[in-house]
Amino acid sequence: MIVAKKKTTSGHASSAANDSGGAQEHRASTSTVLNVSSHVARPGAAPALFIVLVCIVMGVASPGFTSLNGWYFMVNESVFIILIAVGMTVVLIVGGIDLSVGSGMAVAAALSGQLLLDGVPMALVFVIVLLVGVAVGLVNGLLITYVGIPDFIATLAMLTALRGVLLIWTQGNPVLGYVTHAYGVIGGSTKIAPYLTVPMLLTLAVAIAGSVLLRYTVLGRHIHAVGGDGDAAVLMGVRAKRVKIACYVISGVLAALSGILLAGYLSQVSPGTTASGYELMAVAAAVLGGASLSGGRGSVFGACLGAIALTVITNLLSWWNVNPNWSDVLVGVLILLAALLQRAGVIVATRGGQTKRPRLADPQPVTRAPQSV
Amino acid sequence: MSDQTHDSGNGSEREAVPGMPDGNTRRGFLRRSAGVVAATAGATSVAGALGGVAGSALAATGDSVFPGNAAWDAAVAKYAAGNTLKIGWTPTQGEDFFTAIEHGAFAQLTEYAELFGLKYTWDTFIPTGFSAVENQISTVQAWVQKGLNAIMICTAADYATTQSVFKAAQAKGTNIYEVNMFAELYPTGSINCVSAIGYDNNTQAGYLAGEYLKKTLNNKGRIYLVWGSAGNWATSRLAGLKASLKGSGIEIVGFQRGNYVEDQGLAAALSLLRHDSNVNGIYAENSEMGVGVSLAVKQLGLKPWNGTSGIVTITSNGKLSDYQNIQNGTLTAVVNCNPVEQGRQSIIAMLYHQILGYTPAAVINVPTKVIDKTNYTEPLAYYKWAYTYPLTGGN
Repeated sequence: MIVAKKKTTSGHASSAANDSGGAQEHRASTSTVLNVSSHVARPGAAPALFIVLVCIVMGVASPGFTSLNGWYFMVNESVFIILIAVGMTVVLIVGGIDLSVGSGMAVAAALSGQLLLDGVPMALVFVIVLLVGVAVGLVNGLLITYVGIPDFIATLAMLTALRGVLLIWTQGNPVLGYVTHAYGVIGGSTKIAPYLTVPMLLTLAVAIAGSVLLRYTVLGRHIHAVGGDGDAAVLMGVRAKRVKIACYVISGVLAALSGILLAGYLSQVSPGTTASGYELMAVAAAVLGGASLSGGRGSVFGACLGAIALTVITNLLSWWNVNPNWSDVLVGVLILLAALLQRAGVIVATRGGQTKRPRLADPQPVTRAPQSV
Repeated sequence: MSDQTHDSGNGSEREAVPGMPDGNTRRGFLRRSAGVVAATAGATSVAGALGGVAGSALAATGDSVFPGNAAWDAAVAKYAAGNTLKIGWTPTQGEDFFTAIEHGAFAQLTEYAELFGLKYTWDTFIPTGFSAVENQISTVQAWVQKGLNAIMICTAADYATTQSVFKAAQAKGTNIYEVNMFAELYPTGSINCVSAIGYDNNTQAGYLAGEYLKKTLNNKGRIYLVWGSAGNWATSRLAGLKASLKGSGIEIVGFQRGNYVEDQGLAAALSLLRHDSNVNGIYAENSEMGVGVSLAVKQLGLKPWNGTSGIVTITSNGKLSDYQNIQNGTLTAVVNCNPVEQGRQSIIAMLYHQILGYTPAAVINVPTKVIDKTNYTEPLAYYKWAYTYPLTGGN
């Protein structure tokens, strides 16, 4: 795409007609390769491509899978992961990782259920739980930036601590009997319109807000800057610590929101198992969607597609009634293929002489300098 | 959870046993059921003073042979005096099935403390998840160093690894009591523990579920299975189910894993049912997945079993949530794997071995039963009774 644009803008397009046929063909094919590869390298391209392929193949082989109803169920199932994947993407871009989101969801879900059982008004419950999410994110952020504990360790400790607190509080007993019709609607177990639930709308709003934040706000630019090169960002006057704390707070709040919705969706919260392992699914969705584990790169839109792709994969295998022992293998292979596809796209695009000055929101492979925020 | 609030009320409030015939005090009931389990232990054909002698005697009389008078209490109290049972408990993960086992254990410990003046301490370690087995194993090793003399464990760790750890622990004087494991899958002599207290996942869970499905569906129909993570429990229950359904008119037409959690059970059931909802039953291997399956049936607008038609949903565990779901009609049946009884029998075996020096049966299986709308009140009452005993760190 870039090569083609250069030709047009530099006035070489007319002289290109005089080139020899071979050179012209070579240039054209190079252009096509770069064109395709630059698209493949875009965040979210791999899961998008996978979803399109599924639509084509299953649309022919088994139309029920890709029917509107089919997509409704798969998207409705994805929203909980999408929400935490958006938060995870923000944290990954700033150069961190938040492994506490699964436990954060579980605490939020159990707290929502218990407060409702205790007769607290629903709106107040949600405010309280979201504030707990803020607190969890704040503690994570402070531990990482001011105490100096590595992101992985701090959030891993928070994962364990939150789950432990939940188990102590509930003594391992599930929170039951809190779901009202209204909460079922909020949680997405009941539709508000054909093929539409409240969590879908909320997730859409969060995804748009996340994209706007990362692309068009000062905080978004600072998040990219800190994740791309923390030292340089600090030298430029970016308050890197505050930026990082803000990212963890965003992640904590979104985990709490996802937990609130999940409690309404499931109608029961089991302290030991609810949302267990969601943190890894969030990481997988974010990375599939183009986020870099070394920071500086990622896309909210890509994370959404990544989360949907993960749900589609598992649903697809269930649909085909694939032996579950093979399912895990196939899910792993498909994730790997998607990641390889994306990586190949990045390499080809980079080698192809991509010289365009990168915009902040554009996907760029970044080697992050050691962080000292 | 509000229904499960732990009542730390006094002993007199707990004397009557809900669900038991009138006149049965807790003390009398505990003694009687101890004899029942001795019979079960005897039936396992494992040599042992408790199982062999008490079991055969019970079979002959049909009633408890346990001494229950003040003289026996005093005799046992002499053994208990000066001894403190230092117990460790570690289940596979934090869930109310295991909490029920713990409450059952505390019911029995409280009884023994009152009767014999038994002193005990109680350490608990709950791993972060079903697969977090390394932490469990290292905790067992730490407990051995700490000098605990009895560990109750349910683990999903590799069998060979656990057995070597258990062997080493017992060599250092820390006795192991496997709880809710899968003793039926291994030769009794290969299990390095004092007793494996649980139930037979094959014949007492999977098989019973199959029998219930055959009976309820008039021996004809199509069913889905929503199964837990690959492992010994899943293997044994599936074998039992298949043995029951062999040659019947019930066909397994779909099988997916829900990995023992609600949302994955829901996702698996949704996917299976969206593909083909023309099924008569779904067996979810544990309660959490059973919740997911019930939600899937509801979300797709399908009809749960009403006694004559609809989709039969059955699961295995036997927890408060199961009985509540049976009560409200979202779950058809559950195989009650009797967690409370497992906890109690663990402590009974412990008293006999640790304090009195007996050799309990190597495998002690508690009774199990399929529970549905017709008979849920008894196990529910028993469950709630056990929960009146608060969990503490000891006495």
